Parts: sequence; C-alpha cells; structure tokens
Amino acid sequence: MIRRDIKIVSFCIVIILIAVFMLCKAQELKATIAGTIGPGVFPSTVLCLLILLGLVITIKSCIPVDVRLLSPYSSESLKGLLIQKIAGILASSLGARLVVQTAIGGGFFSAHYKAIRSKPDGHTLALLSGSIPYSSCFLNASFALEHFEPLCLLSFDPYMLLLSSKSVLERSITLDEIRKLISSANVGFSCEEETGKQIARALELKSQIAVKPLFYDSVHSLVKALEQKTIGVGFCLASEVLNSEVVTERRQIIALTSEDRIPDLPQIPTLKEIGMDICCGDWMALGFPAGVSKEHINYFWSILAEPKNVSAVESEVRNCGEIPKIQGPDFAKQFLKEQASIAKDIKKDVQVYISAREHLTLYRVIASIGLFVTFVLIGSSSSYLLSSFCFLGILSIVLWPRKVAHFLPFLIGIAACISFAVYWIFSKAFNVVFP
Amino acid sequence: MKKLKRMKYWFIALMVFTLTVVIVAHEAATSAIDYPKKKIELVVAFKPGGGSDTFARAVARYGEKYIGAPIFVTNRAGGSGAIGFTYGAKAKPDGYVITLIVTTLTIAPHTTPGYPVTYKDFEPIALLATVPSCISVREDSKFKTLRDLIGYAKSHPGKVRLGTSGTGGPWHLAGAALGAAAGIEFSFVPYKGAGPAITALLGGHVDAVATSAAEIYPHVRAGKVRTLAIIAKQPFAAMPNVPTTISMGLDADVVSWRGLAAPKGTPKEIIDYWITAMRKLAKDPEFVKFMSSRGVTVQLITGKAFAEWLAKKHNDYGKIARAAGIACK
Amino acid sequence: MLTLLLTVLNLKTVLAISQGVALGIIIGVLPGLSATLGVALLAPLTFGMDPGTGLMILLGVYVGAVYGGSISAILLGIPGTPAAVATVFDGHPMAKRGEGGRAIGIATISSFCGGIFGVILLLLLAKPISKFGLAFGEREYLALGILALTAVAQLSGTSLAKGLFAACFGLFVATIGIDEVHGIPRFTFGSVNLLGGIPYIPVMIGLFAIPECIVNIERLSPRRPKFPPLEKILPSRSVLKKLIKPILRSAGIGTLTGAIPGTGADIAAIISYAQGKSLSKHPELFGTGYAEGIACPESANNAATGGTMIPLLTLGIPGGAVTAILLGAFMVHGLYPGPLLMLKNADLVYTLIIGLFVANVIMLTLGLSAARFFAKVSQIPPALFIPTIMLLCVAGSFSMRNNWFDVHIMAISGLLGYCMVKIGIPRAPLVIGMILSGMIESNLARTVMLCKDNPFKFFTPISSILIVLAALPFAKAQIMYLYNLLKRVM
Repeated sequence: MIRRDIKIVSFCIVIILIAVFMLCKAQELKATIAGTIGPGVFPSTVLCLLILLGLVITIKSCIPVDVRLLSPYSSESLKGLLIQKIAGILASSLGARLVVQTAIGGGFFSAHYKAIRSKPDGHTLALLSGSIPYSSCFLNASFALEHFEPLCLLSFDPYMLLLSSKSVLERSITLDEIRKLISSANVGFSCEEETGKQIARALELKSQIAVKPLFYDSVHSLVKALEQKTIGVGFCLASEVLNSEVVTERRQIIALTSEDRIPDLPQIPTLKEIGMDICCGDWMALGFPAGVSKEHINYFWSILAEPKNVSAVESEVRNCGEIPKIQGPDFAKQFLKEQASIAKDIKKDVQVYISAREHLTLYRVIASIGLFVTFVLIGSSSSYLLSSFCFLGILSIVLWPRKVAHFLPFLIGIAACISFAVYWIFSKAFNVVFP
Repeated sequence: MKKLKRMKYWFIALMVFTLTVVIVAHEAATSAIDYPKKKIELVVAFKPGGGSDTFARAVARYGEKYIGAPIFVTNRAGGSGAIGFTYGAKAKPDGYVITLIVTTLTIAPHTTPGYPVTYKDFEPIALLATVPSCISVREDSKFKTLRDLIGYAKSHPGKVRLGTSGTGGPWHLAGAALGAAAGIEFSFVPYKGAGPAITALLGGHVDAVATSAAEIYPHVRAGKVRTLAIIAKQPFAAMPNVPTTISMGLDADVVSWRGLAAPKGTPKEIIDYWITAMRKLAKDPEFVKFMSSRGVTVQLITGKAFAEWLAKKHNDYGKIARAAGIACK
Repeated sequence: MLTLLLTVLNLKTVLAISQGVALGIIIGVLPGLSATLGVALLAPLTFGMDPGTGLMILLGVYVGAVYGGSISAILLGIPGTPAAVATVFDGHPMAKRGEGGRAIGIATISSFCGGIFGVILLLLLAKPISKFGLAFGEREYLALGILALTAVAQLSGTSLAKGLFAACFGLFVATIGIDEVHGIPRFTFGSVNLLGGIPYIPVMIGLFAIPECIVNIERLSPRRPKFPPLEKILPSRSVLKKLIKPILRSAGIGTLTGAIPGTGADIAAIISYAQGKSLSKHPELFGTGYAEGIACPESANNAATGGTMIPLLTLGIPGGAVTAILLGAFMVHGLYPGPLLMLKNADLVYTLIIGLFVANVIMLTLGLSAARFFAKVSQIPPALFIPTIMLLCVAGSFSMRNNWFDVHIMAISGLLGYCMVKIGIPRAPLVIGMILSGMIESNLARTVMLCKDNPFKFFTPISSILIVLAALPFAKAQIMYLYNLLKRVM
C-alpha cells in the first residue's frame, strides 16, 4: 500500500535540482587558494549534504505506509504532541508503519477535507475534535457523523457549572436551585458564542425556563463576572478550570455536564444525576472516512482496547491536560449522535455553510498571496505610500468576515491611517527613504 | 503614560529645533542658484556604526549649515560597498543624492572580479580626509622594529601571520605592498573587518596586523599594541615617533581616503556649490576637532584636482595589487 | 561608589534611561528593526549630551530592544530581533493557547534576571572573562559554531533529517555573495544585489511572519477569535521556583557567549535553548509552549547584553555589532575604551554599569505594566491585523538597507516558509544555518590555514570542551540506546 506525499516529494526534488545547478556553478570556483580551502569547498560540501538529505527525505516519504493519521494540530502544540504519542502507541501495537500528517488550516487546507477526499480503505485515520473551528462542537459532531465512521472516543471534556465563591453550598445542589439560578440571573458561557447559544437553547428546552446568556472570552473573565454578580452561574470547560488555578474553592463547582462522574472530580455530581439530562462538552475522537468496512474498525479497536494501550493513551491524554475517556466505536457513534442532536435544528445548513466557507477560504488565500506579491513587485517602481494604502485597503476588504458594505468607509479610513502612520514612523524616525 | 507623554514632548521639541535650524541655515546660506530646495541624501555604502558611517554623519551634521539644507545619511551596505556605490552612481544627477566614496572604490575593482562600479562613474566633488595604514604588533612581541620583522620574515618565509581586514581590502593591499617592497612573504589571515583583526592580534592569534592608523591608535595609547611603521608618505599626526615606510626606503604607500562625489552628469554649478561648502567645512573648528579626536586628518583636494588624484590612486593601487598577486584583472 | 549611585539615581538620568528603554522596546517589537539599527540611528542624537547620560540612553535602547523582540515573538510569532528567534518556539504556542500574558511575564522576569546576572558578572569578573573572550581564536570559534549548529538537532522536532535539510539550505544561502575569506564573489549571477549577499533579517521576518499570516487567513471565520484578555501576567511562585535553575544556567551561557568577541545575543539565545532542552527533565515539552523554553533564551540574550560590554570596557574590543557602535559613541565623546578607561575614567565606567542595572530594572517595570497593552493588540480584528503585519514586514525589511531587494527576499522566503509549514519542515534551522554560516566557514578556512600540517593542533582546551559539549546530546542518546539494548538482552 503506497501512500505518497506528493507535496514533500516535489518540494525536495525542486530543492535538489536547484542544489545540483548551484553545485555545477560552485565547481567553477577554485578548490584551494592561499594555503587554505577555496571559496568553492564549503558551499559544495553543504550542497552535497543538502542533496543527500533531500534524497533521504524523499525516499522516506515514498516508503509505503500502512496507516496515515491526519492531524489538524501543528506538531508544535500540546495536542500535536499528544497525537504523535498516540500514533506511536498505535504503531507499536499494530506492528504497522504509521505516519502522522499535519494539515493545519481551514477549508480546503484542513486535515478533515483531506480525510474526506481519501479512499475509505482503512489506511487513513483522522483526528476529529469538537473544537476545530468550523462552528460549534455540536455541529462538528454532526459533521463528523456525516463524513466519518468513528473508531473511538479519546477524550471528553465536559462543561462545569460554577458559582461565585461567596455563594458556595455545603451540600450538593438540587434541581430546583439550579432552575432558580437560571431563571433569576444571567448565565455566563466561556466558550464560542455559537456553542454557548446552542447549550443555552438545550438548557431552555430541558428546563422550560428562558435563559439569558452572556458570553465571555476566558474562564478568568467568567469567574470575575461571577464574583461581580453580573451572572448567577457560569459554564466553562472542565479542563480549563483543572489546568489553571482560577477557581480557588472546589465547592464553587456544582455540577458537570457529563454522563458519569469524572475520576478527577469524583465528588462533583453530574447534571443528569441532579435531574437535568444534558450531556455536552469538548471531545476528541479518531475516525475513518465514511464507507470504511466494519472489519477495519473492529480490528483497530481490538488492538486499541488492550488494557496496556488504553492506560498508555489515558496517561498521554492526561499529560496534555485533557480528560481521557477511551471508548469504542459504538459508544463514540452514540455519543456524537447525542452531541449532534443538541444542534439538530441548524444541521441542514452545515453542509452548505462548510463547503461555501471552504471555497471562500481558498479564494481568500489566493487573493492575499496575489495581492502581497503584487505589492512587493510594484512597490518600488510606483509610490510606496499609494501602493501600501491600496494593498492594506483591498486586503482588509477581502478578509473582512462579515458584510463588507457597511464597513467600507471604516476600512478605507483605517487603511489610510495605518499606511500613513507606518510611512511616517519609518521615514521620519528611522530616516528610511521609501520609493 | 507619563513616559509616553514626555517622549511626545521630546519629539516635538526635536522637531521644533530641527525646523529652527533649517530656517536659520537657509537664511545663512544664500546662493545664486536655486539649490538646495529639499533634503539631501548622503549615501554611505557601509553598515551603520562603522568608520565611514560615523564620518558621513559628522559631515552631515557639521556641513548642514554650509550647504543650507538638511543632510540625512542612508546606509546601503553590501558587497564591499558595491550596492551603495552603484546606487550613488546611478542616481538622478540633480544634486540631491551625494555619495561618500572611500578607498574601497579604487581598490575593489582590481581585486574583486565583477565589481560593477569605478571612480569613473562619479563626478568627484572633494577629498575630505585621509588616514594612513600601518603595521602593528603586540606590545610584548619579539619584533621591536620593522627591521626585526622583515629580518625574521626573510628567514622564515610565510611564517609571519599578518591579519588583514578582508582579502582585497585596503589593509590587505597595504600588507601586500609592504611585502612586495621588502621582498618578504607574509601569510595573510583575513578577518571580517579591522575589529576582529585587532582582536586576534590582542589575543595572540596573529603575529602582526595591518590596519588604518586611526583604528589601532586607541590600543597604542592603551599600551597594548606597538605600531612598527606607517605605510604611507606622511607620518601620522597622533603617532609622530613611528617611522614611515618611505623614510625607511620601502616604497609602500596605501592610505584610506574619504571624499564626496555626485553622479556623473551633475551640473557644474551644483558641484562648485558643494566645493565651496566643503572648503568652509574643512576649516570648521568643530569638524576638525571631531576628526582629530578620532585620529583622522582633514585633507582637502577639490574638483578637477580630486579627479586626477583619484585616477592616480586607482592606477597606483592597481599596480600594487598586480605586484602582490591579488589582482583579478 | 555609594556617592556615584546617588549621582546616577537622580530623576533626570533615570528618565533618560527609561526613554531609552521605551524606545528600545518599540524598536525591538517592530519586525525588521534590530537592536543594532536602533542604537545606530539614535547614537548621533546623543552626541550632543554629556557622555554619561548619552551612553546610558544607548545602553537603555540596547537592553530594551533585545527584550522587545521577544514580545512580538510571543504574540505574533515573528521575532522582532534576531535574538528572539529562540523565543518563538515556546512563546508563540503559549500565546496561541491564550496564555500570552503569562508568556510575556515569564519572558520579562527571565530577561530581567539574565540582565542583572550579566551586569553582576560585568562588575565582578570583567577581567577574567575578558581574558577568556580574547583566547578565542579560529579553532575556538569553529568549535563554537559547531556547538551552535548542533542546536539544530534540538530544534528539529520529530525529524532530524528535515531539520538538517533546512539547516544546510540556510548554510548554503548565506554563502551567496562575496566570500569573506578570499573576497571572491560566489553565486551572484552578475547581480549587484546578490553581490551584497542575502541578509538574514528579511529572511527571518519572511520565514516566520508570512506563513503565520497566511495560515491565519485560512482560519478566518465570522466568529470572534478566542484571544482571552490577559488577566494573569506574573507567573506563580511554583513556576518561578522551577525556572530558577534554567534561568541561572542560561544567564551564565549568555554572558560568556556575549563576552566572546563577534558573537552576540542571537547565538547566545540559540545555544542556551539547545542546552536547556538537552538538560531539561521534559525535553519533549519544549516547543509546545513550555515555560522553560521561554526562560532559557530570554535570560541568555539579556545576559549577553552585559557580556558584550565586558570586552568593550576592559579591552576596547567590541563584543558584537551593537558594541561596535557604542565604541564609536565612546570615541565621539572623547573616551578611548581600553584598559586605560578603567584607570582614567573609572567613574564613568561604574556609572555605565549602574546605568545598565537601572535599565534592566526599568525594563522589568515597563515590560510588566505594558504587557497588557501589548496583548490587547491580538484582539484587533484579524482582517485588519494581518494586512498590517504584512505591511510592517515590508517596511521593516526595507528599512534595514533602504534596498527594495530585501523586500523581494522577504517575500520569497515568506512563500518558501509557507511551503515548509505545509510540508512539516522546521524553519528555525534555516535561520540558524544562515546566522552561523559565515562564522563557521571563515573560521574553518583560517583553521585549515593554521592546522594543515598538524590536524591535532585544532584541539586547544577551549575548543575541546566545546566539541565535547556539542557531541554530548548525541553521545547521551547513543549511550541510552545501548543501555536499553543491553537491558533487554540481559
């Protein structure tokens, strides 16, 4: 089974060709001058090394690989590191060659797009996650169900309900008290607006009370708002609270939105226990592209479900600050269905929304690169100030995410200010002579 | 916030000051021609902070009042001055881009293959300063005089390690000229500039070093370095006891010079205007004091005489380079 | 000494130094403007002032610029100065996680500690350290270059081959231009601009900034970006306790590296990052947003500011590009740096040392108080922010040499960097290769000149120690491998 990564092979070949050409040029330089190595020796050595390494990389990427794991996280992040570790565990227990391919970016450049496009022959795995920014984690679950066949759930990070440190209770909270909290004051959400809105709607449906949501950018601002009594109760991800020291009193945590209690906080009850059947949170899962056969899934899961692998993966997930929950394909499918149902009303727009955005992202990237290259090429021959203003203005219009028409004068004005400010600072303060 | 506010006031104060100077200078310099009307760019083909750069900034600062317009310095470094000189030579000949030309312009065309510019591409204005080159050793070296060094080098050809500030540079040429004149063979150890070469000398990694007298002077004053000889016709003012090679009978003369030039085709009135201004600058007491504090002698040769001087230097250095075997043409 | 302290610590001088530090931080934050350019441009303005104040302002600019580079490295992923290249690796992932404030806090405190350490060493051990620096000849520089190059192995992430590939490419690109040793042009194809070589600052800007921008464009969505405002800037006591050892070690490395003439804060940061990673308990966490990964290079590069002053004040030799400009500034004020300076102008020297100390303190206060302001920058809508960054990159790369060719270079390396990000080839080794290429090649040539009769002459005490340090991580890996093999066999 050959899985070639065309991009890296072509890149290396281009560099090797350039290196060979330069090597020929380097031969024109003398080898020894004035009793020491000539000007051609060092570049030639470096170029030979370059060609050698290029060949090594090309050959390595041409080696047939049994499984490739598509990851949307760059290898420089904690989650990227986690994926490398999990890949290592899988590879050693499968006895197969497994490689992690990172595809950061959105739309056509994303790992998921690549996975969807690949054949469902059991050779491509993708990391699915609730926090990949297409939309809310419930829509991501819906997307995952539609295009992927889940292999297993890796981690589940439920939401926590927080109270202010001044109103802690000595005993567990009851359903009525929660209903009173929701109805009497605002409810704060420390997550993306869309996710929060969908949780709020789910809460409304389950409790039959109107929810007044307020959205915050971080756990810190949520806790601050709790202390200032702007909100009565707050929702935030459990991992954020556990990894930071923002919540001083454990008693501030009154409930979790998970199915069962999590081992890290065994004394905190779930909303389900209290009487409100809501299960939501951030999740990570592995999945094959839809259409893959059941044998592949069962085979992979049987390997992964071995106790030593499960404990290894659990500890890796914990090291990276997530809350592990290793469960098989059936559980994962059921779980994703539940998550997707929270956003079931808007499900039908997801497909259109996502594919439209993919095209838009592609056009944006091409337009940005084109504008940038044009600016670099013509900036020296025409007036710098004018071309920088055009570049800034046009690019910000292209990138503006919302309806551009209202903001047009604002964008043009800001572009003019910024380009003039940069010109002025550099030419006056640093005596730069712009063309 | 307070600090930002204070900075703002400083900035405004600086602007007002510059404006006043400009206005006053404008009134002070009455000229018959309609020049200069705006800022003048002085191109330095080397990195900021180096010798040429500091020299150019001094010229700009003290010369502004004689020119009658603000002069600002731009650094266009690279390729042993090739980039800056090419820019200066190809600029519009309207008098608003003046280049600081230095020794490298007359040496590099001989030693660097493919050097794109020579003195012929410029309209010379004036020579402003010269600094002779010299050969120095550490204070505790076994060579007490130049004769000792030459004697040792004759008996051990190729053993004396002479540090230079770059192959094909002025000080390599000075060392090569001395070697050719004395009939000895140095082992040249090139460094990236005079600084590292002097550092290597102080660390004992080379036996001797050929640099400009101004660059080595601080170390001589500190007593760490002894200059054996000045490789030029005239002795160096700050070190009057050091003999010159000419006086010792060795025909080696390499000086580092700095002057101003305009692109070819600049109108004669503008050149004459600059020559007049430079004449005044050369007599300016503050400028002279600044120069002598750095060991640089102000020497003025203007206009046609400068052009002839340049041509002579170009040919001389070409001859020395060929004799030393470092020429490429 | 005490009276000196009182004379220095008057309001006027402290204000002057803080202006210098503030300006320096701004210069450091703007990509393309390095400490060298900042000090060079501001030096003439100080010529009119009295020597003490003027030189202290320049020192403030230097300290501020070296620190300021880390702010844009952390928040934007673009090193503002070459010394901040190593801070990008852990600073930017931390900022992407939403902990930009903490990252800036760690960077500020490490920079402060490193700077103070450098000043203390400058005060107490200037003479022996300067002797050490002077002992560096071509063999020692070559060994140092090799040591710094092995840092590539630490920065290659998962694939050593890809890292070395990038490093070799960087080593080659830096050879374009006029050969340092023989003065012969290489690979210039007749172009005047290529004759000047390829400057590594535009390459660095392009390689780090442009791919960041394009990837952010790919990720644009109508939702507001999740960049939390900075609540906590000061790291907790437990974090600080764990960082003490790496900070002290890196400060030592930084001061010694800075004291070596010709090397500066950038090489110090690279070496200390590599050493920090190989000696750490959790080396795999380096590069994912690990506090130690920010503390090591930051304390090293600020310690190097004190270190570069050592050869300047004791011997009159500039330790790096910035101190070369300071040397010029000294001479303008009529002072001749060198051994005589300590004897004749001892007061001035101690004033400067105190000034450097004060500059570090001001940097700490300014940095911590301005961190919130800096981080607010990341809350600007990306549609405006990304084009502004691209424009700043263009302006910054142009302003170095007033040459539009540098902007072309920046654009080409930007597109190259984008390809490398997509493919998974690390970009840092390319920049390291470019920085070290000149040093390694010219010292290799000079070493061959010296040792061609007897290769064993290469092994002087210092060069041997450096080679051993360079080989240590590889040896350690091999020994561990063999040990595990033996364990399995037994």
